[in-house]
Parts: sequence; structure tokens; C-alpha cells
Amino acid sequence: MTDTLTVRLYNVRFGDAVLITVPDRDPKSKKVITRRILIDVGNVKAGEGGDDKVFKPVLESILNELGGEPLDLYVMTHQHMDHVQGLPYAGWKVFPADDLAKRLAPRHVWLTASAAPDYYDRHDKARKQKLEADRQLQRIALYLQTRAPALQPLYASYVANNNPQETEQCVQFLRQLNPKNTTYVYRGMKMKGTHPFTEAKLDVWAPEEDTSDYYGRFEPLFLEDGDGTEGALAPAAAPVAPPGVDLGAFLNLLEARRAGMSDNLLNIDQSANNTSIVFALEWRGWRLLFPGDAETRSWKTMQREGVLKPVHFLKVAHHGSHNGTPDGDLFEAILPAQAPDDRRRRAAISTWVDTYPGIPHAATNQRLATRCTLKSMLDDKTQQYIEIECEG
Amino acid sequence: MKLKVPVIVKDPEVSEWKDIRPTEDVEITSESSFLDGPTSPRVAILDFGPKTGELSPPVKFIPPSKPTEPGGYAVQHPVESGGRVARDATNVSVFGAIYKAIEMFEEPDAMGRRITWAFGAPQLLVVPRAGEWANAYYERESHSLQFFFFKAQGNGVIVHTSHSQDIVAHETTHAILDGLAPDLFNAISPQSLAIHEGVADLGAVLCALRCRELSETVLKSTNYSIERSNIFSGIGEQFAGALSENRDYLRNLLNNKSLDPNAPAADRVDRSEPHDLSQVLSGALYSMLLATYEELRGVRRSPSGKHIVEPSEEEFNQRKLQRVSGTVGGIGEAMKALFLAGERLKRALFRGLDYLPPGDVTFADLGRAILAADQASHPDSEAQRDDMRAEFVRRGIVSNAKELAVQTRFDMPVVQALNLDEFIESDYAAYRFVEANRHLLSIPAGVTFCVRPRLCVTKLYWHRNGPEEAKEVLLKVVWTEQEANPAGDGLPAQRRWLRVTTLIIDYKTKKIHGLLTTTRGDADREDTTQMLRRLQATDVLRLDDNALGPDRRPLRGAVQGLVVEGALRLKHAGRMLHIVSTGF
Repeated sequence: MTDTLTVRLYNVRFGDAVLITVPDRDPKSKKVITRRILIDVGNVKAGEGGDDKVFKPVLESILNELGGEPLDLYVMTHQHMDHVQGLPYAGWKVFPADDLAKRLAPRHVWLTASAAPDYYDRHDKARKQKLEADRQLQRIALYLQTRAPALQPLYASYVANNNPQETEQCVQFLRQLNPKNTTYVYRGMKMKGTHPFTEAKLDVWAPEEDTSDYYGRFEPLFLEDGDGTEGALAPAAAPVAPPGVDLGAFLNLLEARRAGMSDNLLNIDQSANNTSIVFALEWRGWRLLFPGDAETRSWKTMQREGVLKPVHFLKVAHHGSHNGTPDGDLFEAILPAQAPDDRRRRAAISTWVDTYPGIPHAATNQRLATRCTLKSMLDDKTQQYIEIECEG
Repeated sequence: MKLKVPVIVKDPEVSEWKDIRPTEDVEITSESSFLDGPTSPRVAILDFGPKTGELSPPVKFIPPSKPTEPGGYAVQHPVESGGRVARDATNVSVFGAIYKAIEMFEEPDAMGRRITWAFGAPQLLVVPRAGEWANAYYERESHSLQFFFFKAQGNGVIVHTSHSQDIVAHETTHAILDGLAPDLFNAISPQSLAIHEGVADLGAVLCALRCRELSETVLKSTNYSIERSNIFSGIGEQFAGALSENRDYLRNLLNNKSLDPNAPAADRVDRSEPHDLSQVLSGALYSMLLATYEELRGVRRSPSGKHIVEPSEEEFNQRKLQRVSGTVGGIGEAMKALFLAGERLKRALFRGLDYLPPGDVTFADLGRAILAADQASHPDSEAQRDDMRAEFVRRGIVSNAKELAVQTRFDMPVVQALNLDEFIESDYAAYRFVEANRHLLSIPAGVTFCVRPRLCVTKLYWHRNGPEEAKEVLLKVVWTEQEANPAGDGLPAQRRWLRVTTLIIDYKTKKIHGLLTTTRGDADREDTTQMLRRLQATDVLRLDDNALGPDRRPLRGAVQGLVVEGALRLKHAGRMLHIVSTGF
């Protein structure tokens, strides 16, 4: 085993839980130490892909793999429930109080930069955008709950996954895993002392320190809910077409005025995804990429900054969405048509059906399969994990 | 039924700073009925409260006291100079401004028919307070015009886009043009979208020129030289000033903008950005307006050295002498000249739009359409056409005047043999004609085409010996062509563009008034490539389902790229006119 690096994607339905086992040789002593990185652990709290029962067996397996040794590095890529809720859930509901944190005992913790408690004090533009995003989300959630319950299933995964209060509670749990050795990570920061690896190299490609770059413009939103503040919802009924106004066109207009809801929910969701820690692990000639849920805007920034390189393994971003693996120059940069060497190229997707509209995206996964061997959790929904091995 | 309504003159900024009465009375004559709202069979004002989403009470309609008198609306709070504009006054003003633009297009010497909307329903819905945003737009999908409001930089005053007649006329022109040429909205070439924008700006100018008091004030204050004022040529004065205190206008049509790569840097435009690009076209046509005005006043000969409108050499010199000696040339003369110049531009532009083969068109295509329409109606008045050709060459739209050559009033034996009534009524007859004459209509062999419904239009032409009616039959045939798409960045390697041929037949003589097919050169292809790259880089262009929200409806902030048999085509590209930047 000491000559094999293993990547294990646990089946948590729609979410991520990735355990990487790395034989790490000390260049001086030549001694090989088996080190482990755990990325995320969570699943979405809506739809088919949300089932909390998965966490107990997954955590038991992880603890079993650790064999009583501390985890070397825990990485929270970004603040979405399908990436953060697994450990707190298990800590609060599966294992006795504080037991999970003690048993994992991570020596180092990486959380994405914007999870730092003082982050928004230091980044005024990002703070304004986050406040607006939270306000929009609250308004839409309230509208769906009180006015449009029929629409709830369509948007449930977006609303639940971005819930600011619940994600903050989970992140607070993760901050306490090892407060002294927690690093809020962004590209370009000094990483010395933030992990114990000596042979393996960890290279952070994203996110930017200032995440305001990842927000798009919010569309005007009309939900016949007053100005969206709590309590303003009560009296107003949907307006009625005045005499002489084409009824069909009027109803169509009301619907069009609500259409900003889709744009804004996607904007909120994507901007959080784009704050994902994206890092490459280089080990004995292999390059493995773990991009969290990075979407197009983050990939474009990485390309602009010139950090993208060909990889041998890709943890497919954003559960196999189109935006998680954009086509074109970006795709060519990480999985070029002409492989740079003769090592095997592989990719794996942790995903589930009937959870997020359009994910996984069949055409994107077909495209991936043209460049590498692709494994998906949907190949066998009963499998406990997908495992990839790299020979040292 | 007639209706008379007060409409805010051009722009509140203009009214406030230029000592002009804040409203003008606009008479609406094209509708049979009106209701509270204002509401008519073709336009309905829906004043949603931006905070509550509730509809405000409608403004009461006042029926005419006698059949010959106009009706009106009960505006409780009329607009006063420098004062706050009340909701009821806003709603009536917007309604009137929209009709002012509609009826201008429909005049017998312009389109000569009632316009129809591209969305296939009778009523345009108008939201005067659509929310807080520095924007206003026409949206085909919701059958609506949306006017937003925003807080001005500096003084923090709330600026309502619905208070600007400029902006209302601009957006209404977008809606009218979409009805006339719906294919422009799905175009893949920046110049097609720029034509939408440029024509919308010119629509706003033409509406402003019809305000008598504004014309009089401007002409008096400039000693009759409208080149010294930007009131007509400046679009969105209040809007631009509110965005930035250092900005006078959103766009100024009094410009030298050019497609010539050797033009001075300040005059060059981003050929892939439709708003910027539009200034070349609107600037060229505005120059024509100025030249006509100066010529009519006997101030300056046309650039071609010929007379533009009616006077002979002798008449021109006589008028010049009279003006210099002060016997004519006062305000009345200047106002008449300005009005006539505006009318001349209106006729040329609007008739040209009827002749335009819509789709992926260029400024040169529109130029040829305008020239053909003018040449068909006024074969002996070559002067303005020469000036227009010269202006298009000066601005790098074409490299020489020959590129704008069009043939009109010629015979085509296959058309002479046509039964025109059957050709108009029967799709089968029209398809059979087109299939049999592919070569004449420039349709490649084997390509599937679509014949649009034939139009039979009657227009009024002004000649020296008085007005004359002419009836024309318009045939438009559309097909797609494929070309390489070097945009890269994950986009398909091929793309499709829309090609169109227009055939215009004189109903009486069956002579051909125009036969025009869209053209596309290397520069146009490169412009498209650059535009696609920009849309892709800013994440505005989204392929297939990625342009849809969870509810499977198109996202508002996206332009959808459809990949059909491996080739890209754009859907609702016109959206980029209002979603990629702040403005209108």
C-alpha cells in the first residue's frame, strides 16, 4: 500500500466526501508516512440527493481508514450544505458529544477564504454582495413558502443548499475542529506550515482572496410580496388584469416579472460555488485536481491567472454540471486532447439524480469520457464509494 | 376617436434647463376606443407599485364632449417646470409618447399601414415603474416596455426613465422595428443589432423634431444652427447626467463615428458592441438630416454639390439672397426647414426598413434598401442619394459608392407573368414562384427556405406636382447559411446566419422596385467572432439548456446559443442590447 495513492469518493448521494490517502516519503529520512486528506462531507438537503442516513456509514469508514491516527488535513471547499453539513450532522446526531472532532483530530484545517469570521469586515464590496444575496434568498424562500408552494420543489435544492443560517452553523462546527491550525485559503497565499506533506505538493489554484469577482448582477425581482420584508407578504393578492387589458398577456407579464427569481438563485448558488478551494495534488509524477464546485467564472479566472495545467485525475466539479467542466480552452488546459504523458487519465463524479435541475449534464460527461476514464456514482447507486489508485 | 394628451417634452432635464414648457399636447387619431388606464386596444399602461407590486388606480378617461372634439385623461397633477412628476401625469405622458412614435411610423408617407407587434398579440403592455435600475427596455417575450428608475450620482435625485420622451420613443421604436423585422432580434451579427439600436435612436430624434416648441426654442437659441446644439442629437441627456456628472449624453448622433480603421481614435467604434457600433449608422443618417436642413434654408449646398430637395440653382440662390437680406429666413422658415428635413429622413428611413431584407444585415444593406426605396419613388432626385453614398463612404461603411448601387424600376419577365393577387394570397403560389426562381433570388440550390407572408402596401409619395399613391408588393424569403466559427472557447466550430432576399414589385406596372439580398464579408464575420467571444467571456452566452432556469424558462440575463446539427445560432440576441450594459 505504501506505493499507491488512493482517492476515494464516498457515496453521499448529491454531495462530496473525498478521502485521499497519500504515501508521503520524507526526503531526508526516506521514511514513508501514510497521510490522509478529507475533503468536505455533505449532501444537499432537498430532493432525491438529500439523505442524512448516508453519513453514519461514511464516517465510520473514514474513521476506520484513519485507524486511530489523526487526519492530516481537512479541506472545506466552499460554504454549501452539500459540502459542509456531513461532519456537523454526524458530530451532533451520530456520534457522542465532541467524539467525532476528537477522533478525526485534524492536524490542519483549510477553509475557503470567505469563511473567515472577519472576512466581510475586510472586504467591503464582497460584504455588500453577500448581504444582497442573503436578502434575495430570504425573500425568495419566504415567497415560495407562503405564496407559491407549487414552485417549491423546483427551487428547493437552491434554497436549502444556500441557507445562510444553516451553513454558518456548520462552518462554525468546522472552525472548531482545530482552531489553532485553521487556515482560510486563497490562491497566492503562503502555504508553508498549513499542511504536513513533504513529498506530495499541494498547489492552490483558486479562489481569489476577494470573492466579489464571483457575483453577477441581480435581476429586478417582483414577487407581489411587498418589498420582501417579513410581514409585507400578508395582504397583497396577485394583481388582477384591469378592464381592457389582454388577460393572457397580463398573466404572462406577471410571470415574466417573477422570472428574475431563477437568475438570482442561480447567481447566488454559482457565486458560492466559485469560492471553492481548487487545489492540485502532485505526487510522484501524478497530478490530481480537486476543484470543489468551481464553475465557469472561477475556471476563467484560473485560466486568466495561468494556473491551469494538465491533470491525470479530476474530481469532476459541481457534480457533473455543464458549468463545472466548461468546454473549450479551459477543458483543453486540464484534459488536453493530446495527453502530455502516457499515464492513465481518470475522472470521477459524485452526483445523484432528481436533485438539481440539469445535473449531471449528460453531454458534459460524454465529453469527459472522450479524454479519460470516467466513473460516476450513478454507474451503481448502491456502491459505497468510487476508488481511484495511482501507483507510485 | 381623437384623444389629446400632455406628453413630457423630450427629457425633464431639457424642460428644466432650457425654459421650455414641460409638456406638449399630442393628438392620437388612430384608435377607435380608449379606457381608463390609459388603455387602448394596442397599448395598456400597467402602473405596478415597485414596492407593493399592486396596480395603482388607473387614470380616468374623459370621453369627448362632441364627436369632433378630442377626448382626454383626467390628470389631477399636471407636470410643472422643475416640479415632481406625479404618477398620473407620467402614465398619460408615456401613453402619449408611445402613440406619437406609432402614428409617425404609420403615416401614409412612411409605412402606410398599421404596425403589428412581433409577439403576435394586439396589445403592448407598458410598465412605467418597473423597479430600481438604470435601464429601460422592450421585451418581446412579455409583450412589454419596461421603464426603470434609479438614484442619480451626486444629488441622489430619483430619475425615472419613463419621464424621458427620448427613452420612451426609443423603446417604442424597438418594439415597432421588431414587428417589422423580427429576424433582426435573432441575428448573429453585431451590425444587425446595431441597426435596431441606431433606428431606435433616430426614432427618438424624429419624435423630438415634431415638438414645435422645442424646435422653436432650439432654433432661436442657436441662431438657427442645430449643429450648435445637442438637444436633438443627444440621446438620454438626463439619464447620462444621472449616471455620471461628467457625462452629457448616452449617445450623440452629431458625430463622426466611423468603421474606417484609419479614422482618428476618438471616432473609431468597437465593431462587436452594438450600442457603440450603432452610432456610425445613426450618425450617418443624422448628418443627412443636417445637410437637408441646411440646404432647405439655402445656407449650404449639399456635399455632392447638387440640390437635395426641391429648389433649382436659381431658387437656391434667390433663397440665399433673401435670407442674407433678411426678407425671409426667420424662425418660421427655419422651423419649416427643420420639419421638412425630419420628414424627409423619416420617409427615407422607414421606407428603407420595408425594403430591408432582415436577418443578418449590414449597414450597407440598410443603405441599399434606403436608396432603392428612394430611387423607386423619386427616380429624378439623385442629390440626396449621392450625399448618402458619400456619407457611407466617409464613415467606412462601404469602401466606394458603387457598393451601394441598386437597380430599380426594371422588368423581370417571370414577374410580369405573375398573377399578383394569387401571389399575395396563396402560400403555395409564392413558394412555387420562389422555387422556380432560386437563381434570381440568390437562393442556393438545395437550401430550405421560408417565404414570409407577402405584404401589399400603399404609400403616399410627394412629388413636385403633388402627392401620389403607390401600391407595392413585398416578398421576403429567408434561409440560413453556415460558416466557420473561429470563436473557440467551447463554442461549435460552425455557426449559422440568416440570409434574406426582398423583392419589391410595383402592383400596377409589375416593374421591380427593388431586389435586395443580404451581404456578408470577412469583416462582418470577424465582428461576429469578436462578439461571440465577448459574450462567452462574460458568461452571457449560454448554450442550449444552460440558458434556462430551473423552471425551464429562459434566464433573463442570458443570450441562448442553440447548437443545431453542430452549428451555433443565437436566440433572442436582441436581449444583449439591454443586459450587457447599463443603458437603453
